[in-house]
Amino acid sequence: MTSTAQLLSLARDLGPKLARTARFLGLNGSEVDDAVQASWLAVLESNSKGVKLERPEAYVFGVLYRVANEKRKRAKVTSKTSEQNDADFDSHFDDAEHWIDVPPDLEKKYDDVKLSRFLKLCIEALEPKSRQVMAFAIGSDASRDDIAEQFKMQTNHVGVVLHRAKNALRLCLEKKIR
Amino acid sequence: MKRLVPTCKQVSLAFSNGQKITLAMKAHLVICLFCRVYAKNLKVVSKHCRQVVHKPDDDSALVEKLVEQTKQHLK
Repeated sequence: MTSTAQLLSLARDLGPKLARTARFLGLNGSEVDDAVQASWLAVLESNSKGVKLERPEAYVFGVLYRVANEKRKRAKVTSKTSEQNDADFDSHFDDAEHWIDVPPDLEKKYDDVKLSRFLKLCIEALEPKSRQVMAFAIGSDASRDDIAEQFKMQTNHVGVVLHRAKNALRLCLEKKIR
Repeated sequence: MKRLVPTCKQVSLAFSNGQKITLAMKAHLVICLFCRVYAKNLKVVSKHCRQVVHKPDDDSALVEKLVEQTKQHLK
């Protein structure tokens, strides 16, 4: 069983990370609060039952993932497939694998506010799996091993999914900026 | 035959996947500045993703709720 002081410290440490992850997963306003509190309650209940949580961080993010996934299933999602994203990436290079067009310098072209607004729209259009993996990588700063365990995939594949997600976002931003 | 000089695409993939950049790739970067643009863009995307989902005021209020929830639960 974890001590009260440890639990309080964990709540302070994990709160912002859980909130960031929940927002990236597409939850808004009170949905973020509800999902984070439901996840944290699951940890408290397990603790009061005397369940020894080897890695409470991984456990609470697992619960958050399930909560957000339930909401995602209910929402209608239209997004690109990985194959489409890969094809978009490949379309930037010629047969000799050199750039056909120079990618624009995103930061120079648009200020932070506009970029963030566009990015929000592009995040919403991400493929669900990519979005979830990226949410955990960016929201919780989880290691690739932790993400792999969470999503039951190989560590190397996490890198692939993250690359596809970042690339999809970049391509989406480029289209909006050009 | 293995190519000694990587292509822009290979360097871009290596950068974005967080792979170790070899000396040949570093040398290639001097020639292929576009790869730098690509790598920078991915970093920009990651940085802005963090900003998009980071709401300091909301987060601090939520942390207080979690602390209160913990205290109530342990009573």
